Amino acid sequence: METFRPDRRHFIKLCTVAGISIFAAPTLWQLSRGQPVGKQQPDWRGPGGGPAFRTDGIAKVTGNKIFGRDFRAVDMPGWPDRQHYAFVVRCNRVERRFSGFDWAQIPTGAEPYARVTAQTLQQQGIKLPEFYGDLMLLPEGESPRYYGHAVAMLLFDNFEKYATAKQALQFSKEFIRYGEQTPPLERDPYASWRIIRVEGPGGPTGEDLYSPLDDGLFFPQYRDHKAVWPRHADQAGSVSERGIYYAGQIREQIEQESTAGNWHLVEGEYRTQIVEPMMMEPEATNGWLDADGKTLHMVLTSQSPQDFQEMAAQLVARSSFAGKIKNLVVHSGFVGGGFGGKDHSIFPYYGLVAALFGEAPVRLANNRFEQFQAGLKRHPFHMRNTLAVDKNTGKFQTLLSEMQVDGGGRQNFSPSVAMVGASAIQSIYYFPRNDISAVANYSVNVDSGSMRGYGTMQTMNAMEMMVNRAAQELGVDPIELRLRNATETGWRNTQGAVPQVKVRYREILERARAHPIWAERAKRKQAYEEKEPGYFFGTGFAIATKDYGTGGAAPSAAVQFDENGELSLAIGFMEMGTGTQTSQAFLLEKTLGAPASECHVAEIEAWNALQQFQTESPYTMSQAHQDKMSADPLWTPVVAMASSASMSSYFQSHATEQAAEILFHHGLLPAARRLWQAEEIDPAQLQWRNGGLHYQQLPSLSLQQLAREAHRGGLVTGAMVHAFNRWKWAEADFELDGENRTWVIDGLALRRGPRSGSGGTGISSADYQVIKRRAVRYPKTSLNNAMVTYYAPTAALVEVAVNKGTGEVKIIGLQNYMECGRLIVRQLVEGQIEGGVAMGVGHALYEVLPPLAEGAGNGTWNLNRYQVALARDVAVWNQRHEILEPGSETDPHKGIAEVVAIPIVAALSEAICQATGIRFNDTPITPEILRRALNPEV
Amino acid sequence: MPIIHRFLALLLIGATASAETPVEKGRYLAATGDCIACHTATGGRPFVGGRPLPTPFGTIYSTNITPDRKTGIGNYTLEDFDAVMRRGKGPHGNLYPAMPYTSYYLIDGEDIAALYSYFMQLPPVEYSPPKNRLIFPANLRVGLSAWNWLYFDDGKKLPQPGDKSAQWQRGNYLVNALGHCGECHTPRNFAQAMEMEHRFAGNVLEGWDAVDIRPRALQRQGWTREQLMELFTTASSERGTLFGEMFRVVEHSLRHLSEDDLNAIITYLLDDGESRPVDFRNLEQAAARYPSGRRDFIAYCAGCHGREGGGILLDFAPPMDGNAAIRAQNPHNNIAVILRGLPEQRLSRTRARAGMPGFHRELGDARVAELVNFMRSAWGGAEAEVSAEAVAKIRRELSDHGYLGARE
Amino acid sequence: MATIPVSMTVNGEPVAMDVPEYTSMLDFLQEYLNLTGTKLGCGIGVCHACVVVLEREDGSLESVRTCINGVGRFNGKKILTVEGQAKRSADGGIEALSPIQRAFLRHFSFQCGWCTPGFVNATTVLLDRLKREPVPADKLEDTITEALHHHICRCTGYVRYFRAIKEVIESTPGLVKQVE
Repeated sequence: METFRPDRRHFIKLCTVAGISIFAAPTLWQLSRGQPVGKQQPDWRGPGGGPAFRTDGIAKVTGNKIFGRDFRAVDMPGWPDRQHYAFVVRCNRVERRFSGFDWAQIPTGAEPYARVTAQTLQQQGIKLPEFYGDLMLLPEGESPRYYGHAVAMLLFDNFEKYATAKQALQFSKEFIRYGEQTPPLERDPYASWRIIRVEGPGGPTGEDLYSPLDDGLFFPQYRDHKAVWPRHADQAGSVSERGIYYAGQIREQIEQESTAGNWHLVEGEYRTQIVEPMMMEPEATNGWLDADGKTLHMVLTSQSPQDFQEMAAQLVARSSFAGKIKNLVVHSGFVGGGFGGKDHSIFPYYGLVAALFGEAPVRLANNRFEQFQAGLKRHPFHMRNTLAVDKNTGKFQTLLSEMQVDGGGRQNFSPSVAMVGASAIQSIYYFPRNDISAVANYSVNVDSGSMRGYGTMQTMNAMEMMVNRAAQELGVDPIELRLRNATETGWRNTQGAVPQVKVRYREILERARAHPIWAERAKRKQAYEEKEPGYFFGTGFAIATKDYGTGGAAPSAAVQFDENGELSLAIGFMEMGTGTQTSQAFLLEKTLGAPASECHVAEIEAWNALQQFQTESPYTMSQAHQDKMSADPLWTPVVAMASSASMSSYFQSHATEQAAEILFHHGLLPAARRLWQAEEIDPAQLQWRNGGLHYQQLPSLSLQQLAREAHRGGLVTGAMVHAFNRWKWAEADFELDGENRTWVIDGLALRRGPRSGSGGTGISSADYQVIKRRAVRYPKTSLNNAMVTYYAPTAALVEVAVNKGTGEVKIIGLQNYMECGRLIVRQLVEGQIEGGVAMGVGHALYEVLPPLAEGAGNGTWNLNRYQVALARDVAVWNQRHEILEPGSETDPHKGIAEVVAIPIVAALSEAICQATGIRFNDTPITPEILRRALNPEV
Repeated sequence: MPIIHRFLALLLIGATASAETPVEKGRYLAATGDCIACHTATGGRPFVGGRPLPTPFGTIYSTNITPDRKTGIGNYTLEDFDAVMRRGKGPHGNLYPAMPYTSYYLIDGEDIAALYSYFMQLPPVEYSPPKNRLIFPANLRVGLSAWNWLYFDDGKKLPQPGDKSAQWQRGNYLVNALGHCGECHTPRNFAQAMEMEHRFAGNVLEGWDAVDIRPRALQRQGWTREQLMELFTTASSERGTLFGEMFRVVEHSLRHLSEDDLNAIITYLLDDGESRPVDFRNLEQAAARYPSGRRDFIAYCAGCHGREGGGILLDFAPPMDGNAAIRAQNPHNNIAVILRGLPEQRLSRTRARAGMPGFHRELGDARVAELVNFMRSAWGGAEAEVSAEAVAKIRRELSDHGYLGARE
Repeated sequence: MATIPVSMTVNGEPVAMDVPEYTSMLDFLQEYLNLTGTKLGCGIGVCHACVVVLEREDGSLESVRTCINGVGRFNGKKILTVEGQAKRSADGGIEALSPIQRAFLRHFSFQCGWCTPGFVNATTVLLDRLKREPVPADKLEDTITEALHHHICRCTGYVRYFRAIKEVIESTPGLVKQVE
């Protein structure tokens, strides 16, 4: 069944796909109009312990940074100067048949030269990649499948015609004609998940009686487009029969224990809203079909360009353009924010089609109304939850949750968002028993995708709200209740898996409990309310721990130095603004004594040197297949990964550090031996200090000296690695320079001596020789059932004042706690926290898109109505953070981009409850809702 | 099964919902009367008062009308409440006619009783608004008796012409009594009494023209029933959008009214008639006559109000072509909006508008006049030109009252 | 399509050309001058990513949203876009950053950088205003919030921008009045 796959990277990147050679030009940022801004300004590193500023900082404060959206034909080397423009026409209703256009609505003089409709696409055999479903453009006579369904694309040969026509047509009520009414469309859910676990006699660390990890998953049937779970229970039966047996046991026990008065039940419905990612840069493409060169060029604003390459080539290969296009060149530019909204978006495919029919380079650029209408959203969840707590011990006994997830009109990542949401609801707590189900449904709403949070924003906050409520109803301090229930390192999660990293929840909880905002909350409330009689004051706490990673991470990195010891780094990850480029460049310092002076992000070409290939989906392949394929030293479960899911700091850093260590071990260390003329060197005694490598009493060696020697002597001067992680890292054995050694990677290529003179700057595959591994140990495929096992926790302590009349919520004080392992660059982490808080505040208090006809799909939404958090909404002068010191030198660099936005939501909800006495289960808690709730008589 | 029965029962109750309690009725009437607008300070709790109401004689602060015994109306009997509402006579003396008893005297006794039961069950809030700041002799309440004697005749009944529809009669009551629309929309004499012979002819308040809402004006501007309904429920329509105090009237009052009552109000305002479709578009002539006005329209206005004034999207900004303010006889609001701009305003989570920048720093009187003349002749069928002097006068008035200070 | 002649000074350089009359200032900068440092965020004047600095006749500065204003509004005027904020050499290379640019760098104020041009420009205007009307020290934070709270940032949550701005104002003589 297609919907089973928790797959964020189903599609494979190959060098040649269906006869089309794919080329990537990821370094558009270097072409910025004569400004070599990709090359770091000399002083970004600064003299301090961390970088002085971001490597891309100067370009960004000076307007030199060229984002994907900024490129015009004239900026592209080799392209014609003429720029054409495309406009996608979209439906703002769903209940009637589309019956053609009133072309007379196009202003005179602003006529498009090409009108692309469903018919055109059909004639040319153009079909969306499977991932996106069908009906790229709605055919005449059909009703739109969802609000905002595209019906046509118009191409214009100059900007003015485009701008004129777009203003006349975008909001026109007459341009698209509608015919008879049709009944609402129903479809089967996109996917369903069920997570049942019952702890065994051995407790949290022992064998489970039943869990997805041990027993596997089972799925419902769909009747009348609703999920119907199997009913037959049998303790000794199939995975589903046993699952249903235990699910029945769980429910019976709840009934008995609560009737007997032993357990307290917190039951409730929890709803979240449709949220727009509102990345600042609306999506855009620029594409050119170079007919003579049989080459299709695409400039993207995508977080997942690798996936685009593969799927775009397939699209072309299946169409009548197959013979006309031999090459696909994908230029992935810098992205002006994404938050998941640009990960596997359907948008670039419209740009691609525009390019296919264009007579010159065609630019397709959403304005903000269009971005609201057609951009990916955050899934709304509707949960029915039961939390059972032992009244005497305050220990959580059981968690039940039924989740309905609205995926919108196209599937996108709805299956895996539902799965991640379901597997994350446990948050930091341990549950001996759980029965969690999640169904991702089709609807006529705008489709939702992998927006920041990925289901966990929704479900973990529901959990935190339940815990806060349980604390109140049981008369226990909320942090005390959390301490009693926080899971421990080595304990199983709701899926039966054991998280791979040390958890430090207790430490965070203890610190928050001691903070004056918490410890003195009663006093502070009294003082504030005396001073400000128009306000209620309240304090709230919440904690979240976000899994990060996808269970199929495949980072690549290459590090090399030139004769002068200048370090260059290339990584597969792209820069979305989070500072990946800066932190990865900085990361080399520990191993190689200096940061990278160049960091190429979103590198693609170089990895060809690794010669790797993949076969089946890493999520669904059998152990036997993996075992068989592992024998081929060039096989890997996944070649390339998307820049999403908080992947850079943990996964990319691992590859970067491995490459740096290999380069040190096989390049700098032998060079040092030669220069020091010391055969035996104990690596443990080597130290980088003040830019020099020190060993005992020997004179220190600069990186430049070492590099020159390595180049001269034909030593390793560049190391390129590929790693694979399925909740554990793959490791492989290599024989190098007569030495057998295990590295935590599965692919390796090396450069020896000077560059081969292949031309161009940067890191080139031509310089590298693949080194075949002698053996590899991949994590077992059964770990796929573990779903997620990497976690980074954040907690938020917030105090608010609620206006008794208007319901407005003012954040008075805010203290965050973050445990991110070893942080790489403090300011980047703090900036992430602050940005996450702002997004979380918006989710909690302001942001909402209504469903259906009033919603974003009607094309009339923009920031005048959709309220995001502004500076005055986030206590901009009163935010404090505490980043826990790493527990050890070997703590991982944890991914945090998602978790930071989460706990502030439930913390605000609780603070509002403590202020007003009113408990809300749904988000957002808007001023309008609060005003009515506080003044019910009015 | 029991659930279904209960559901049916609810339906049946719903069907006879006209038997509403006095409190519910009072709540509805209080919304109709928009009591909350004046009796709530910015950012304050509802009905506790404290909103400053500027008058030519100084500032009056609205009172606490929650049933707090010390600071509100907790000690009022129904008779006290009636006297306040309909005669402006409070237990401690006469009310200033900022309290619209000059309209409320028309409310019938049953409605007064319903309002009383509603207000008396509100949660009492202890709060004393600031003292009024009035100049002599207006600060002496004794003068109010004389004012009432001169300008207030509570014996005068609401005229009920026999040739009007029942809907019109209901609208007449809503508009004139509870709705007290005339209090803003009617010009006032030197003593701030409504000039009843010019009822609804429009009046400048807080720097905005509370526009002429007489049937002739509305019909000339082409208001259809649907447009007025949209305006009263969403604060915007193709004929324009509401701002200032009238936006708050929609926010707190009109959008909470029943469809029947809104229809009654509309019927009354259009005087049982319909607007004829009108098209004043005369772009070419206007462009020829006011070329620099057109240039400025394109430079300053078209980005939001659309090419040729046709609008881009109503949720964003209203079109100028067909705009009632452009079609209005009085150009005051055209000029004032250009000079001072408009604040952002939110009606609900899903309805909100961005503000409009004011251009008083950048555009001089002659340019504003030319711009206004361009718009009014292009889309308003204007009969008279606006002079630079007229702009200067409005600019001065706005400036004197501090309405031009906002930074952009 | 009708065109209008446009002439103005952009970043110290005179610019003159004919463009379609309904061209917005933002489109003029991007499509005609190839200055893409000024960013489209919402297109309806809300997010303030697109503001440029307009020099008034009296020499004082104003920040103006370019997405909702026609190019005609800027005819004959002097404007500064983000590209003109740093001191540049003849070939466009950057020679020196402005204090506010340096402060945003130092504070890691931004991530994706889309809103940065708007913040740089609006802060420039605020500094100019404070030069004319210094603010009491105890009102500084409110003044900054009031001047910049319309600017939307989605990555970094404002804190680092505001701290940087405060630091620049406090370290520039004459912008803050000490409170007695």
